Parts: sequence; C-alpha cells; structure tokens
Amino acid sequence: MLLHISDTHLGKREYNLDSREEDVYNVFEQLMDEAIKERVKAVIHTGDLFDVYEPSNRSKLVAITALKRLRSAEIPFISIPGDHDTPKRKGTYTHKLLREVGLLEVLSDLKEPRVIEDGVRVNIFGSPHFPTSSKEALKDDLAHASPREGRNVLMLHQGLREYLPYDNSWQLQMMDLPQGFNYYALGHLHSRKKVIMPDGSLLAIAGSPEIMRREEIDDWRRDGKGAYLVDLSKEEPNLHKVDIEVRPQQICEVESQRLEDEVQSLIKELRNLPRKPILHIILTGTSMERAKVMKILSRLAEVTEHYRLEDRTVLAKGIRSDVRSMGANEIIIDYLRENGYNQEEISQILQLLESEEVEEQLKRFAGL
Amino acid sequence: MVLGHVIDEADTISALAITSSKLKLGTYTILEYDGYRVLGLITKVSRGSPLLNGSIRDPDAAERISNMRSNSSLKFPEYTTVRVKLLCNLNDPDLLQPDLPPPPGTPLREPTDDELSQVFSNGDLRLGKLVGSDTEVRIRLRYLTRHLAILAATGSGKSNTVAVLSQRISELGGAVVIFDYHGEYSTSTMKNINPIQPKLNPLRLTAREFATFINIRENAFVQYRILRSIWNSFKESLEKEKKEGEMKLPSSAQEFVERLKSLVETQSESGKKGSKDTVAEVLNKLEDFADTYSSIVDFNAKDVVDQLKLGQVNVVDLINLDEEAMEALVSHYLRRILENGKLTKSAKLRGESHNFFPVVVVLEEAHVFLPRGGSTLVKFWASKVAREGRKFGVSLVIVSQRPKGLDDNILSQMTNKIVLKIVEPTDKRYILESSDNLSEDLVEQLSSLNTGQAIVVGKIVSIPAILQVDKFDGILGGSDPDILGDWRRAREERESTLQVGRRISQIGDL
Repeated sequence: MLLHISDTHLGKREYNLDSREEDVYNVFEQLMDEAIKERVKAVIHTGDLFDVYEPSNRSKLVAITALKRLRSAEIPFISIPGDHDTPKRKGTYTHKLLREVGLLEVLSDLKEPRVIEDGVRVNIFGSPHFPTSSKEALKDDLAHASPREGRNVLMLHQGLREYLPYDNSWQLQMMDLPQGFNYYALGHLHSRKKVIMPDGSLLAIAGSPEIMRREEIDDWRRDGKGAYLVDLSKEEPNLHKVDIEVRPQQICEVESQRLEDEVQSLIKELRNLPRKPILHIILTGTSMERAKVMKILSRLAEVTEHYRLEDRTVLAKGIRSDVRSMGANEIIIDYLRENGYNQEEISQILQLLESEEVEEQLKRFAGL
Repeated sequence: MVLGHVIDEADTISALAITSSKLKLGTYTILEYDGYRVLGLITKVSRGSPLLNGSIRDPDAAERISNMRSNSSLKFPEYTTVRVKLLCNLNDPDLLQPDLPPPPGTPLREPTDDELSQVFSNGDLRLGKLVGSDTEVRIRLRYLTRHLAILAATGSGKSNTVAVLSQRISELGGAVVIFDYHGEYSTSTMKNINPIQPKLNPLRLTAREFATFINIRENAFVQYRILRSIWNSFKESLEKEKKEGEMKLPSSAQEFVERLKSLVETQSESGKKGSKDTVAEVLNKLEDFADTYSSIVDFNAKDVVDQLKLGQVNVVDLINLDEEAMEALVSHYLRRILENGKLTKSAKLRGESHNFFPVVVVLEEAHVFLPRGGSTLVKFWASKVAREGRKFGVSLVIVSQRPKGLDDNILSQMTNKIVLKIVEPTDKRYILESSDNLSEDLVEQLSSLNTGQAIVVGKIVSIPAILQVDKFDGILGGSDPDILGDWRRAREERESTLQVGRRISQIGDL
C-alpha cells in the first residue's frame, strides 16, 4: 500500500493570515498521521511540497518535524520536485537539503526506479517537473522509461492538456505517457482526478490537501480533499480515497439590496460549523457605498475565520468587465492589444513578465 | 555551303537527300529550286556504305573492309541519307507549303539566321530558342484566343513553361489568371503577382449554381423548387434590410445556412412545398454545404473580375482548398470571367464603354477539373469558354500531365499545343488523335525531348517548332523540395530543442 499525496504547498499563506498558513501545515501533519496509521510501505509525493523554492524556516521546520515522525515509523517519503519547488535561477532545491539529512528521497532519473517490496516488487519511477519550454525533452525522457518486473509506478508533476487546455499551461497529453505502468501518479492540478486507462492501468491526480485557491471550492465540495491509498497487490491497482478535514469555505453571491438580510442568515448558518470558515461574498446588483458594505459585513467577523468581498456591482452606466475563462497570458495580451501594442512588443513584455524579477516585485506588491 | 543533294523521287511533303556531311536529326535546311526557297526539317537520318551493305555474309570480308575504313590513305565510300520534311516556302508571304516538289539534285544548304527568324521569330512573345540554334521562337499572342494546351509528363518543365508564358504576357501588359492548384506560383518569386483570395460570394451565385454546389441534381425538381424559392426570399430579405438601412451579412457559411434553414422552415410551415422528406433532404444538403465550403464562402468577397489586374499575373491560390471547394470556385470564376467578356462585347456594340479586358485563364491540373467522361461544373464552363471565349477575349490555357485523362472535346478545341516530353504511348496517341495539326513524325519525337524542350503547334507559330523553353529566372514554389536537407534541419532543430529544454529543466541543483 502506498499513500499518494501532492501539492502540499507548505508555507503558503493565504490572505496574509497566520491561521491560513497553519491550516496548510495542519493538513500535512494529518497526512503523515494517515500514513503511519495505515502502515503504508511508502508515501509518494508528486511535487510542490513547498509553496516557494526557498521556503521560510517555519515551513522547513514543519516539514522536518513531520518527516521525522514518518522516518521513525520506517516509512520512506519518495518525492519529486514540482514547479513551485524548482529554483527559478541557479540555486539549490529544498528537496536536496532534506535528502541530505535523510528525511526524504528524490527521484530525478526516469531510468532509475526506486524499488520497494510490498508483497510484490514495486518500481517507482519519477521525474522532476519540466517547464513548458522543455516539454520535448520530457517526452524524450519518458520515451526511455521502461517498466520492469513487478508493478510499476510513474510519478510526474506536469500539466495534462486534457485538464489544462490553455496555452503554455500543459506539457503532456495522456497519449504522451509511456505504456506499461500500473499507476500514473500525477501532481500539479489541485483537484482530485482518476482515470482508468484502456489497458486497465490507473492515472490519478492526488490534488492539494487544502483549498489553495477560491477556484477549488466547487471541486472540494464534490470530491473532498486529501490523498489516495494505492493498493498494488493486483495488476489493476485499487484506489482508496483518504479524506482530510480542511477549513470550510463558502462562496455567497448576494444582491446588494439584500445584503443585510443575507448576512443575518449567514451568521445563523455559519455558527454551527465545526470550524470557522473562509467566506467569499460576491456582491451583485447596483452599487452601494463601500463603507456601508464593509460595516454590514463586519458582523461576519465573529463567525468566520476570514471574509472577503468581490464587488461585481454595476456602477451607474459603467460596464463591468466580463469575467471570462482565460489564462493569465490571454488577459494580458488582450489588455496590451487594446492599448495599441503590436505582436512583437507583446511577446517581449510577456517574456519579461515570466522572468524571476517581475515575480518578486509582484509578490512584494501583493504582500506575499 | 552545300550540305547535300536531293535524290530519288520527292513530293511536296518530303524529300530524300544524300550527303557526306554529318547532318543531325532535327536541324533545319534550305532547298532552293524553281524560284522556291523551301525550309526543311531533317526528320530521319541514315548512314551506309555500298561496300558494307546488307548483303554481306562473310564476317572476315566485313572485317577487312572495315580495316580499309581506318586506313586514311584510302577514301572509303560512305554516305548519309536524310529525310527532309518540307515545311514552308520562305518566298511565299504566307509561308505556305511548297506546291512543287524539289527536283533531284536540288542542293541543301544551311539556313541563315534571317531565314529562321522569318519563320520562328515573327511573334510577340519570346518563349525560347529553336533547339540547336540561337534563333528565338516567338509566339503570336493574337492566336492564343484559339486556346492552348500545355501537356507534359511530370518534371519535364510544365510549370516553368507556364511561368515564362505568364510572366511575359504580364510584361507585355496583358492579364493572366492562374488557378494555382499546387500553390507554386503564389509562392514563387515571379514579378507582378496579384494574389486573388480564393473566396466565393454566395450573393453572386445563380440559384442553379447554388443548387449544383449543394448537390441537388438536375432531375430533383422539388428540391430545386424549394431551394430556388428560399434562395430568392433570402435575397429579397437582404434587399429589404438594405432598404431599411440595416443589413446584416452572414459572417460564415454556417450562419448563412442557418438563415436559409429558417427560411425553409417558415416556408414548409406554410405547407405548400414538398413533403417532409424532401425538405429534410434540402436541409441536409444545406448543412453539408456549410461544412464543405466554409473555407471559401465570404459574403464580403469582391467579384473576381473586379480583382483582376492588367499587366499582372493574377494568381488564385487553391492549395488550401479541398476538391469540392476548388471545383466550385473555378467554375464560378470561369463563369464570371466569360460573362464579363460578353457584357463588354455587347456594351461595345452599343457604343458604351465597359472596363474589362481580354484575359488568359490558366487551368493547372486540368485532368482533375476536366476529366474524360462525367460532367462537372468546371467542364461545363470550360467548354463554354473554349467555344465562345474567342469572341469575347477569354483564352483558356489548360495544363496537364495526364492528357489521356482529359476530356477529348475540350482538348481538341485547344488548337494550340505546347507539348513537352511525353513517353507514355497512350498519351501520345491521344494527343495525336485530338490534334489536327500534329503529325505522327512530330509525336514520335516527343519521347526524345529533354527537360524544357517542347514542340509547339498551332496558329501561335507559323510552322511547328521544336524549341528549348527559356528558364524562368526565379524560384517556383513547386520545385522538388530538398528532402535530405529538410530532414537534417528537422533533426537539428529537434536536437537543439531537446538540449535547450534539458538545460532549462536542470537549472536547479538537485
């Protein structure tokens, strides 16, 4: 039995709240508890262990403490770095640091599997995350990964086109995966997915164990959050969901005229939750004075961990920009084009935006 | 210099001559007699010796006699006889064939440059040089209205010939339209290219044309009836919108068909037309139309005749279209061009001016559009151009590497022909059968032509000529690709992609 976890993003600090940072640590510890409780043969972690590649000491400490518990239970922690774990310029992976002190193992060569005995021989192959610009190299490496005697597991942290069809956000399509593996363990996408392949093998995306972004709320309601227990004793793997309790979140769309009433009933409703939730209020209808809105909303403070407002009300005759499903790049391209930049300038700006410095600046701006 | 003398009985078509010089096949010669100055073409060459004739039965004797030949002190009796085809009388202003055969003993001499030019260089457009000489071959463009077929095996210089012809017509201020099947010309370095977007504006279609495009057969009266009435009400509705000041043209074939469909539905609701099945059939065909022709339908497309430019090679790039769309486009364009020629002519008769000019239309891969047997819409309009085009200034040039796949009616109306190397015997026979002005001895030579060499027959030349077509001084898109180079480049590109990709993915220290 293996425990497949992914996208733990240790150190992520949503809304600049201590409690949100703790929430992320908390689910990681819960996952370790599950591994120990289930006496799994190994934990496989498919990338984005930390939220940034040079994590804070606090988040490293949480990881070290949790992984030490796992080590004393003699459960190996087999991992691959995800895009968040990857240094953006010359630098050292935090994974390397933790491997050095013997707390985890890192798979970096698709030709060299880690073998564990679980009643049957299990060969675990894995590759660190490859960026989109390197996808051809990744495909080439994958073509050279050949399954061996026993069960075979392939760990990857990549965007699959089937789930992320936007430009530059995917690197692989399902058909690029090499044949002959029993279990394809994927990370990167934060929602849980499970695909039974034509040959009976299984592809599973473990998803993030916490709600890392507002967009994940719907999926969490439907599929829950947590990990997968993978039973490889048979040729066709058996997957078992392990659900982790996360801080509840709720989206509430409110017509501005009915805001007071809605807040009243929300207070009643939310009071009964086991943990204080994160509440997202989407305000629609005609515009209201901001101070007044905030005053009404302030009553939510006692029943929520945090509430936030998305103001989509219509200003007099001003037209609210439509919310479209587009990648960030498309939105930027549209904006630049409307402002009269030509194609070449746009692509130069996009390249600039992707560079490390800009990201740092943006983060400072956003207070992350 | 006297090259030889006529022997044996001659007639007005050919003569036999004996010579001691080495006359080559395909060279020209002059015979002067009785006030005639006749240009002849050597069509057969034989060599022999009375000492080594066919009756020798003793090999030793043959060897001994042969040794005599290498002994330079003896003059070994040998001769060459040539068959001279009598082409025309240069003293005749119309360059007619002589009506009197040359008497025996008539001397053969080399033609002067002037004499050859008189025959071959009296046209307007230089196509190339006479094989084996520096004499220019110029064709007479006014006879191009009797249409032209350019026939050749693949790789023998067809596209080059079309390119040379088209570019030079445009340089002379004429207008050529090429239906560019392979995208060779639109991507070529030809000067004066005027690219024409391969678009079809449904508003310019007749109901019948549209019916053909959507596959309503001629005997499907009810379907045609339904289509015709919705077609007309569609046009009326546009007219009405136009009057009311707010016209919305469909932006795609799909939208167009949706609008037509809604008309079908309102009309069939009123209950008078067609059974349900027939209506469904029409709807199906309309939807198929949207799928098949979406690439070429454009309600804002200019009429092709308004896009044609004088002094330009107008190229319609068909490369991205599938066969049905090509067929629709070519037939429609042919129709528009011919109709405009007619309009111009009648306007002129009424003393009005109409701004249209003669056009040379080049149809590549003609065997696809004008197949033997079966009827296609292109064939209908091409035959019409072949029959009537001459009157209205529309010349058709059809180009094909599969002559026997061509409609024989149309081919026989292409009275001018430029035939490059053809080896296939049935092709040769087919060309011979469909040409009045091509003789068997010329057709026989087709196999022995080199790349770029061609036989020209028809009124565009005074007499049939074998010429080396000039090389088009540019690059044609259709030239054979450098496949090895392309493979190598693709591999290098991939290797560098992999290398760079690996470097990027290994930027961190793991």
